[in-house]
Amino acid sequence: MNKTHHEVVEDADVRLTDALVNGNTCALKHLLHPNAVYTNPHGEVFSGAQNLPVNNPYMYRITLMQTLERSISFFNNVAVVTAIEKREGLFMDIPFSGLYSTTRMWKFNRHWQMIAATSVMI
Amino acid sequence: MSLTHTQIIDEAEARLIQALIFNDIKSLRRVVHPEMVFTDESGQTYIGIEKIPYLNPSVLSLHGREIRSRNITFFTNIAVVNCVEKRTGAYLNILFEREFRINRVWKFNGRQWQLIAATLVLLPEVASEKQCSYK
Repeated sequence: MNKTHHEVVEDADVRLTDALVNGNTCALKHLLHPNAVYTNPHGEVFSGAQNLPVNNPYMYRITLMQTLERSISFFNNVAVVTAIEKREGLFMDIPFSGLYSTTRMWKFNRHWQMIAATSVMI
Repeated sequence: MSLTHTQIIDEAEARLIQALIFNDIKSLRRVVHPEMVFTDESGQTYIGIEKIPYLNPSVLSLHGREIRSRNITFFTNIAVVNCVEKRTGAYLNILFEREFRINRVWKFNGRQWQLIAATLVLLPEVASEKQCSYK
């Protein structure tokens, strides 16, 4: 049975979350637009998938990413996912843990790719 | 002369901020998609322009803003604007002056660019600015 757009984007969002935790660079390359823009909770901006913190596991590593709430809004070929996430990991070898409100923008171009994301610490 | 996409987004952004400062709801509805997704600096998300409490002038009154930096990335019919803005105003009648990292996503709907999502991140107060504000 064909999936709805909602299910497809939700699947992509789950796969992205898994890839972030597992450091699956192949999946990340598929799911992230090469020019993706990420704003972290400190207001720092990273432009380009290659420059995202997740691509530097020595500096930033997520060990747990649990989605507590997820909402998806559609604007034709764009989907805006807002999620409340529990994250645990290491930043410069220092453990961190917290709740984050994350907004991820997905754009459809043959397949759904994340083009922008912002995380806010709750 | 035709405008570039960057100039069009610049103009749309200027119209949006003017509408916010002057509480011009009519202009705001022209540039903002009715189902826009807004996440404030505390991580609270509002879906739909009618749900955003900050558009009520008794809640938030924006007096001015200065753009400290701005970058626009285009994804065909999507523009992602990332900027640092110093905003002054009153929140629940309490004056504030803070810098925010703001991410705004614009979508071209075939006729015009409309704001579909925005996220605010509060930037830490800079020590030197803090000292100035105590003077």
